[in-house]
Amino acid sequence: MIEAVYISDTNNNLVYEYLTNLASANFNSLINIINDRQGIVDINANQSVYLYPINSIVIYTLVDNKVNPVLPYVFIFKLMEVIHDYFGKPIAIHKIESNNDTLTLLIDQMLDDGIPNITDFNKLRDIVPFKSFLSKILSKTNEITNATITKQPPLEVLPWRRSDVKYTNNEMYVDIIETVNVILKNDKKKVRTNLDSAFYSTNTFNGKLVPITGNIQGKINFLSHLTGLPHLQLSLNHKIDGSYHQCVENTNSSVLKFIPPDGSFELCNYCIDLNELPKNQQLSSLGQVNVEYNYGLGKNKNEFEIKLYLPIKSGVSKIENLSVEIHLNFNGIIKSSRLTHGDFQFKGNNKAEWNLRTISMGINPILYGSIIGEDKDEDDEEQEQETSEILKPNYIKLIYSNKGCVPSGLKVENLKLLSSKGMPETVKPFKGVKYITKTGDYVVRS
Amino acid sequence: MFETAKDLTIEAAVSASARLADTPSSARPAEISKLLNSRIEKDVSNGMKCVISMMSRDDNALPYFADVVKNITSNNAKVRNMVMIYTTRYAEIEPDTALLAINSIQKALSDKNPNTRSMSIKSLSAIRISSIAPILQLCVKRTVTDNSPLVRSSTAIAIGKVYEIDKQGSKQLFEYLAKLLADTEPMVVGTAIKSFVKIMGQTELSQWKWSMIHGHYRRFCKLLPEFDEWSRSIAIDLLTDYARLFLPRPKLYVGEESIDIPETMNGFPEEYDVTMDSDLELLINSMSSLVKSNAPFVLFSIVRSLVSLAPSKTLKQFNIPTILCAMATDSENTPINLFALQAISTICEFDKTLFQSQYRSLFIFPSDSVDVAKTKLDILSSLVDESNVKYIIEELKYNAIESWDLSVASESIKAIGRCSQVSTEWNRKILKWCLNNIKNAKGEALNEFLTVIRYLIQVQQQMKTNEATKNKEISKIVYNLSLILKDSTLKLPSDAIASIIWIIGEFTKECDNEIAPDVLRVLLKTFAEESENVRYQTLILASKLYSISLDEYKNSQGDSPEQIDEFKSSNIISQMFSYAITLAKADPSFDTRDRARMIDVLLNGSNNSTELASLFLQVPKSAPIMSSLTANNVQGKVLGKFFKVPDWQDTTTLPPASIRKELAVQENKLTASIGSKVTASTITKKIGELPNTKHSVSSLHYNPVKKNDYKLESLDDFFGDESEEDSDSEDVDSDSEEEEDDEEDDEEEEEEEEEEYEDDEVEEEENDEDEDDSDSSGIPQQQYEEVSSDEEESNLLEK
Repeated sequence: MIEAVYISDTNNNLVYEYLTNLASANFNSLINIINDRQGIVDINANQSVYLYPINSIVIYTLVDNKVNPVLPYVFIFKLMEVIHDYFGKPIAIHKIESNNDTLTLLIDQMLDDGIPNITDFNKLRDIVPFKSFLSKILSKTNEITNATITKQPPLEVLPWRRSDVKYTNNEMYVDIIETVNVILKNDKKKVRTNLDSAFYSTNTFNGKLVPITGNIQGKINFLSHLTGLPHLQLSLNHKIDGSYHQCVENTNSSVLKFIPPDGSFELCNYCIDLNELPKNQQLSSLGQVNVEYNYGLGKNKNEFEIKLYLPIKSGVSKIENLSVEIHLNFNGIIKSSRLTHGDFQFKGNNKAEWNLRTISMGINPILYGSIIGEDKDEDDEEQEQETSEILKPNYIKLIYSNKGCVPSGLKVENLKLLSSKGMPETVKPFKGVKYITKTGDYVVRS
Repeated sequence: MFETAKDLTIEAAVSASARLADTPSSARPAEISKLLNSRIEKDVSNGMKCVISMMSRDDNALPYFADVVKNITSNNAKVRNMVMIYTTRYAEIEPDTALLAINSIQKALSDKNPNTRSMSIKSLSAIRISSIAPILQLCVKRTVTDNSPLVRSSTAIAIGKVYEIDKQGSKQLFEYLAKLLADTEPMVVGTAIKSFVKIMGQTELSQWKWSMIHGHYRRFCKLLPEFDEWSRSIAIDLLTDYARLFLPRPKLYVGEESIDIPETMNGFPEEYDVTMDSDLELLINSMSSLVKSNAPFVLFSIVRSLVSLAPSKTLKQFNIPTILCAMATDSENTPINLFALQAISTICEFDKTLFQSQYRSLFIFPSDSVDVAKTKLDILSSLVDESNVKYIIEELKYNAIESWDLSVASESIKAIGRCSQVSTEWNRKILKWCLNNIKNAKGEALNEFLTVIRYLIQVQQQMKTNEATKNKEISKIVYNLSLILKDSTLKLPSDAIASIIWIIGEFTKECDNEIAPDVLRVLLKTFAEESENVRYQTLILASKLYSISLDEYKNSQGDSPEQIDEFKSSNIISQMFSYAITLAKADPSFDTRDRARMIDVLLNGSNNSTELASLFLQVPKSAPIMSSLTANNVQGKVLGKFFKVPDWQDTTTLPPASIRKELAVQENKLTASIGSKVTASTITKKIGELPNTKHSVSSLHYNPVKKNDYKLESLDDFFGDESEEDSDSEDVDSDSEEEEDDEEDDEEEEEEEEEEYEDDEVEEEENDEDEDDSDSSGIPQQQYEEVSSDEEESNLLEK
């Protein structure tokens, strides 16, 4: 199945390789075939290489073609999860180089004769102890704890949780993260009536944008540092329809019960299709920033206006990393003529960015800009006279994140420790909940 | 506290250990050897680290083989594991030295820690030296009954590895594997399935393969939710193939009629009932809970299974469309996106109504890659129907005009062309839109527009509306095209002009030959200034027109030579034609000159040849293929291959359902609690003695084909004093002498125990039988049959 794992830097220099047997091809013999290609590369009739670039490295797996085609990627994801757990985030070349012995031991467990075997990082922790260099003391304590666990039930009991979990600070954190992807469109009629008064338009936002399509990608990340075998109950304010980590016992209720793996993991991920929501809910589920966008303004019909509205809402104090990208689909230059907040920069490549960074709620920033076509210089006058055609951006893209709430309104109502073997009753674990909204493709079309 | 300290200092440790690992580099081989031979554990550990990191950097670590292998006896588990990894990697090259390590690795089989035992059987089986096959057989035999599921799992995979080097012992190995397939622990069963599929993938043993599955089919189905994700996916694939081969095809009922479930449900009535075999139902029901697990590749296995086994209703019940759409748009999982889209497109071929309401989630986002965008367009155009055509076309139009990528734009235009099939009205609307936009289009997009226009005209041509209105429509289009051609402000590229000329010529008959002559007249004026392909097309247009009017003339006026001469001299088209020919004959392009002469000979020659000419000039051309783009990318191809399943078998030839009667679950974990006389302690005792006696036992039981003359020395012997090594092995120090004595005693004991043990096993089976009163006594018998048939198979195999 999986015959080899390679890791290289972005220039195709080998950083690490693991071959399941002597007959597996080594990286340098494949490099000419792989070259700078992406995705899946067929090596011969029976073998392919799957590539996955991340940060400054590329992870490859050499697989035979009989496998489920998605499996190699999932294996790479698992491997990354393990690398993150053992060597810390983010994955980097120097970490792999300096720990290649541990990595070999790990992959040797993850693959047995090329068959994915023990891939869960919690279980691997039991088998491949992570002995960092500094920790002579730590290794000693490990040995002591190891000695004590031999009496405990063997690790097979819970395939996703390691057996010797001990913490002095017991804590658990829930992160609910939602990413908004949406394509919005201006209501055309409005633009026409608005043409001449737009510069000092005092219209408040009244839902002029219509979503064409969109979705909200959500996930619940969980971090557990809990002693023993804790049984948890997480109550949400509504049921979510998604896929769950294997530790979740019941998936058809808003109250989830589970024994968590040790460390951080993704408890659940879900996707809300905006198109299936009723019309009036669609816009309200798009997050904390509202946009008003007009184009084709001014004498030459080459100006545009972007207004952002950041209504005050309890729980959300500020919007972080707010910026708006303006994209053209022809060669031209974008200029800003007036802006109330932030910086405007034309970045070349027919793209400009209006960067507002972190901004508090209740503020309504405005950008007024214009577009100059590239061929304008050549026949300036001619253009001036006969430009009946509107010069407009192709689309604008909104980027931001905020904490405090998520667009779908999902909330944790409570998080209870139902029972915990091995944890003293007096211990009250710390509980933390965080809500994060992010934007993926938040696009307003012209 | 230590844990927090550990967390805090991981970064520091990582960089610190980097420095450590660098100290003895591969550039100083002597130093590594020194470390490996050191008596200090830490030095050995560092030495091993260097060797392993050499391996992982694709450096040759072979020179250290002897130095490394002797450390197999280290007390440090990590060092031992590293040595095992090293040994398994290079054993094939240095078989003799590798054999020295086997003894020690084997010893680890009796370790208290299941992890060590598991690692031991894992590495042992990975040593690909065929001469140790009998030993491996024996080790596998031991570990099949280990009391730790972890060890049994490793054994399941080990069987596959042993099978590779020892095909002759396959009968035994398959028996062990059969035991593990029937294990009590789902984890072991899961791993056994993985191993089973891998072994069977290498060999052409399909009959044999399935005979081992019959009795487990139902249990596997029930166990699916308990497997880990890797086993789940592989088991689902296996069971799906099984169902296609051995289960009767489900039947669909529409009203009174019943039919076998078709391979594609497109165009099937929406209301129907299904009946399916209870075993098939079992498989499908057990998959329903797995849809919510967050391993994407399991979902792909489920999709494969459902598409090939169940009606589209079931896919809907499982909520597959929504899940796939979510997967296709998940921005954090980009490699999976394209696979999800390809799966959607495969399901669309099965039943497109499943996605008809989801079309909006397949609209293109600006960050989509070109491949994703193209696949989305392909799916969108195949989902079109009366209810959604308005929205889909609007979106496609946007992409065609505004897209940031030219190839996406032209693909969108193609997709629009495909959408025209929905209705004649849409065909007309799209055509109109194309004509309007042709002026703004550039490059490839323009060519696509013209292809689509040609396609749409041909579709209209073939429609069953009345001839007059149809021709009126077409002449309208052609007229519009001719206007575009005359519009000098447009600056169309020559390719596009040539295509337009071709279209005008092609459909001139439908326009009663009215528009084209004028176009030709204009073109001829500027003939010399046009580019090569335009001149060529002008020539072709002229000859088409001439041939058509010549035919008309013949039909109305008669075809005597005088009349034809008359026609040639008087008719304006004829005059234009001869002018075109004259011009083209002097064309700088070889091709055009050549073609001009050919046409001249044909059309101005004898009566027969003019008929021939009109035949090939006026033959209706087939419509350009508006093919779907699926499987154009690697992901599509790979997934297509994966989705292939065996054909349904003829119901009459299927074996009876009774073959799937569940076999008894094997209690492989031999502990005192089972109630047999074999206790855990006796097993450990026996395993403990194993290393000393394996040779004799193996020769007793297996009659190896070639005589096995390896005397397996212990490492201490090998690395002992030179003088001692020189002398014969009988002449050793007192310690090993005692060992030898022991060995002989043990040998006998072992044999006895072996027999005893086997008796016990039989007894145990009988016990099982007694306990299983509720089940019919047919089970053991069946088991027996199974075994005997296996025997035949393996005999065949050996031949």
